[in-house]
Amino acid sequence: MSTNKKDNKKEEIIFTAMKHFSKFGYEKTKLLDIANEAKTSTTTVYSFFKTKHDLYEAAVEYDLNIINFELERIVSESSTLDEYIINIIERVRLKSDKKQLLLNFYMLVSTNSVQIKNLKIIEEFERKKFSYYLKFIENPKIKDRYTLLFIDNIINIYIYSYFNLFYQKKLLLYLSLYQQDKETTEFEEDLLKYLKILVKKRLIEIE
Amino acid sequence: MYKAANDLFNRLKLEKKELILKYILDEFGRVGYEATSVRKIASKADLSVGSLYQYFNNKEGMLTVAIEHVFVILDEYVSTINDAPLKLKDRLEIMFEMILKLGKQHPELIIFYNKIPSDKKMITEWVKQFYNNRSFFDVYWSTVKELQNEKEISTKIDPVIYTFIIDTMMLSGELLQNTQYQEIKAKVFLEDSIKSSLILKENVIETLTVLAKGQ
Repeated sequence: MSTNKKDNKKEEIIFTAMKHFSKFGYEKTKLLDIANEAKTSTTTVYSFFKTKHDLYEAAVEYDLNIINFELERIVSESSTLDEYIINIIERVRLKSDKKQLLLNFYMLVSTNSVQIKNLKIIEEFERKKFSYYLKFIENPKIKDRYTLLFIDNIINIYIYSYFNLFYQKKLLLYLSLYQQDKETTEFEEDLLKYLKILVKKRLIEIE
Repeated sequence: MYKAANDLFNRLKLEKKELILKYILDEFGRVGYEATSVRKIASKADLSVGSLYQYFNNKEGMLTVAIEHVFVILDEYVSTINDAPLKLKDRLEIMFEMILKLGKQHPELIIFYNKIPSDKKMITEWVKQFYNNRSFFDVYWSTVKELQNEKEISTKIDPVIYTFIIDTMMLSGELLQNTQYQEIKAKVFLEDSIKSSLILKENVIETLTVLAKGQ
């Protein structure tokens, strides 16, 4: 294979692996199935990746790169932190159907039941994610750092409900607490309102 | 007494039952339902595979009783929260401490809980039992309602959203425990200030107190 062709094949294998890990979990994913779907042989898979775990880490890196790319774009289009938060949720809603496996894999990695050896992959991703918040907050104090972490956690847990059954069911349970039927859209509006309060009261934004 | 277990299992000594269920939770939590090896659980619990099947019939039975066991464990922590004084600060503090203590005393439970969202079988069984036994979810909800009656939390606040935020914030306590990803994330976001759970607790409580005042 030429280098170009080889790279394409490699990327196709990683992309297929990401889908399989997301759908079946690490343990149930079989390299043979990945090879079949990527129209290649396990020998070729092994020529790129020594172990299933190596392939898994490549898939993690691939997944986080795509999400980072999206976040980078969203932050460049946002002029306030409130806007950034709204835009993230909006983007996830739009992509939750077509990119379900990609997003679900992100959820899976961040609640990690599979230990990662190359910690740099996660660290770099989170470092970039943190730096996007810094576009709106100058010299964050400890208090600001905690607030950003909480905001990020709340956004994460909420967006999971767009593409993961467990979080969907959990959200439905919340909605069932309302006396009258309330729609998810109303829940989201209210949640955004409280995130705004957090931003306003706990953070000092750059003017 | 486990409702989903048979007499043979229920008649075992309490410590024995708890130990078996601990290994079951740990195994499901580590590898998920399909890949769970009954043989491995048996060898850890120092039992034969045969007696495990006698107790639970099949792997599905193991999962059902294991989840029932999770709620039994949680009950203890939930009632401690309910017994705390009806003040916002006291309640938030005890909630945070209970989650932290839970993670320390039952690491297998955290591992299991984190695995659920990525395992269809575990989601189905968890949701089935969770809707009947709402545990932490219930105590957060009833606390918010009671504190609104006491005007400790502004009545203008939507109690459902506030409960959702409490739930999410309390799970931040998890980042002090062994969740690899969350640990790395915390190090990036918080730098050196992550050394003690005290600062985290203070920030969780302060943040929720700010929100409790409304606009």
